[in-house]
Amino acid sequence: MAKSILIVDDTETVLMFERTLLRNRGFEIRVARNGALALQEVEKSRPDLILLDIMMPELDGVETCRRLKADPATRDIPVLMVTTKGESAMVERAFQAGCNDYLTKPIDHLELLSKIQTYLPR
Amino acid sequence: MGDVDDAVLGVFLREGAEKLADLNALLLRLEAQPRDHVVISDLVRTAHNLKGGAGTAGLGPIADAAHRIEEVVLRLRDGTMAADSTVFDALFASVDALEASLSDLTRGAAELPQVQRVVQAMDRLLGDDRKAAIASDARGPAGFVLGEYDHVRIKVLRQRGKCLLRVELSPPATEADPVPWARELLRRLRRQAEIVATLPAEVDLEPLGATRRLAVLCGTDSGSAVLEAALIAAGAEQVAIAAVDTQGGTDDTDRAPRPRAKGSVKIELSRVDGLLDMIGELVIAQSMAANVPEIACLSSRRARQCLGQVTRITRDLQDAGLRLRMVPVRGLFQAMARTVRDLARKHGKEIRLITSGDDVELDRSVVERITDPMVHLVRNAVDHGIETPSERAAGGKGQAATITLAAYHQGGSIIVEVKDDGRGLDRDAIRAKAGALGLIRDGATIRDADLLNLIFESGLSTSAEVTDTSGRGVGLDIVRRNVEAMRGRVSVASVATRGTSIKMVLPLTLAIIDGMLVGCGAERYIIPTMAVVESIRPLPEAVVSVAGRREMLNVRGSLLPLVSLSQLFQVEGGTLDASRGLVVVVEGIGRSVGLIVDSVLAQQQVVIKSIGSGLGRAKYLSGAAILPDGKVGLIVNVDEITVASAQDAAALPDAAQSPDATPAAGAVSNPEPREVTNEQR
Repeated sequence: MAKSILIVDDTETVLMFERTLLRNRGFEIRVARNGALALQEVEKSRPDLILLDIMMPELDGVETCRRLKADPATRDIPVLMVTTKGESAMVERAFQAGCNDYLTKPIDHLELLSKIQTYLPR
Repeated sequence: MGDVDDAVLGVFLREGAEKLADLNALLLRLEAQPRDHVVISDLVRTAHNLKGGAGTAGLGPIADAAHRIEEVVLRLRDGTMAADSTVFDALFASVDALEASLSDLTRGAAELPQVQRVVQAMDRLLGDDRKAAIASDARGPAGFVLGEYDHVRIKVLRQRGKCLLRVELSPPATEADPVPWARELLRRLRRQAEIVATLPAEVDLEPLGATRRLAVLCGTDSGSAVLEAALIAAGAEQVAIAAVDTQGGTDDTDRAPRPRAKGSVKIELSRVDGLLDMIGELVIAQSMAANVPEIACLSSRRARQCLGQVTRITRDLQDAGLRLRMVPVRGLFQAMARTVRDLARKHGKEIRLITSGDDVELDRSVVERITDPMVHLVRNAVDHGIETPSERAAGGKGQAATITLAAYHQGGSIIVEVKDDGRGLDRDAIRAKAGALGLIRDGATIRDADLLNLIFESGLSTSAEVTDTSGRGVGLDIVRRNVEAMRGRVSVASVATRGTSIKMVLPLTLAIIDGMLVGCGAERYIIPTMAVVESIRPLPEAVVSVAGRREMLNVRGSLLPLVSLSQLFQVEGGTLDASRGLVVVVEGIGRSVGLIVDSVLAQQQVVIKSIGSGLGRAKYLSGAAILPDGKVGLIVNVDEITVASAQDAAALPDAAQSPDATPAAGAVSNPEPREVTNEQR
């Protein structure tokens, strides 16, 4: 069965890029536009991996990650933070919250695919 | 990847433009309230999104520029940069330059010269210390190339009490292609350790084939012996593990209250229009079904209830569909805020802009069509309406002037108002100018409202006190024409020394009009109610022939040219003779005409369906509408008919040499027609 990936981002351009790239690689893609919606989606569909934008309205990536990692039901889902330059303080908190890894925008598609592969369960 | 790139670029061009508009609006708010933390946070996030989007779309230079804008805003937030006008000017100019760059990109430009200027301008604000801060980032411990936040990651690993280890190993000699093996090994290692970096980098492990050495920087709380055993079990040879000593990390606090965002989906306009067309078809189909005799005479109560429900839902669906095209005026007002700011600075005036009704929605095409008129009205207000601070002070007013942009519902219309508290219109100047142009006679009494309305006449725009002569050659007459082309109207009110207010009364949507349904033979036509002045059932003696050919109607002493709709559209069996039918007096561009019809059937709101470009007689029609019985009614284009009647009489069937409508005393024996209805709005 195709692995499912939840993409959480409020930038349409980034969503489009990640979604198209990953869908072309045969992943099943779900999308949420802020952290609160992401938590709902995780509740519903239990993705195999989450790509989580760090700076978002409503509920930001750090807090979303913290909640995911605090919940025994979701803590094992790998969370890759999607960051940009100039966010060190937030990234630090994301690591403290237990995110598994990070990517930096502009996202290199090889890096994205290789990171996803190493975190996805077999 | 080409298709993906193109699609991503397309999304970015749209989204980027939105973000820039947001930046503009936020900067304006920040300039008004430099300490507003919510606004600053929004600015940071918006610049940030722009950066992320641009980078993803492969537009590195724009991402760099956005990054610098973000840095400047962060300094404003931290208070390490003063929010003065130099900074705001540079930020506004940067947003403008990026907007221009996006337009260039949309047109397919390859070079973006403006972007570099943004980068330079922001760098000037930021000074030199920034470069040093960035430069120190890339160097990692023990030869690893670290990513943007690996230092942060190492810092957190240490905080959590993990040991940072450098693991060096070789793939098994039996492994011909060590890349898949290394990937699997890293996967397994991740269960016990957090991998910060590898050498060669994980993205490209190919060099491993030649070097056969893999180095891993990782944080773990397993002891190195445990790790070593696990690696050897995975087939690694020559495992060497060493503790690494680094320090990393940065300090700056980052927190931001997140404003509530409404969920929304972006849809292409063509899809909305496609949906609206389909809804239109549904309305017709439903209406026709309900009028099929077998269905119309159904006696079953349940069947009638169900039909009633279908009708209701169809109408609701139609309403909901029309609302899809509606957009709030906020965007327009924000754009005006910028215009006001720039003009005020240019003219050395102090102006506060107040907007109200930002959430009021208008049809998207209405918004597009009032944008130029709005700019014109706002420019007028700033250029001419508002006095200089010293003039204001001398007049006992506060130095800061106020321009108010307001949108609100009134009746079935939406009012968009531009109001200033400036000097007010100079009535004497208007009178003098209008007199010179022959619009009014010297010494004639004229109602104040009519006098003020003269500012919308063409040619009256030369007096600097009255209207804007500078700029783009658009006068208030164009403002009025634009608004009237949408079946709207303009009005003006002004009090000397207190200010001027100009209102644009606009239809809620261009897709629906109020119409007067009239019968001509077996056909029905719709006359826009907006254009109807009155309906008259004329006495035979009020109808006169001018120059022996053209029929005119004497209305209270004025001669009105008559046009028979039945003759114009060649309807068989329709009334041609005004005295046997009804005359609907309509007002088109600057002129009235009497339309001869058989009967007035109803007042009706109709949804306009386009009938394409007007060829031949079709130019006297502005569209079609589906009537409640499912049949089509054609909408009469009043402007075209009045224009043709006035300018090109030969184009109309009732051709006459001289369609003169000036009072012709003595031409009519009984000048008083009976009035049946008065539809004047």
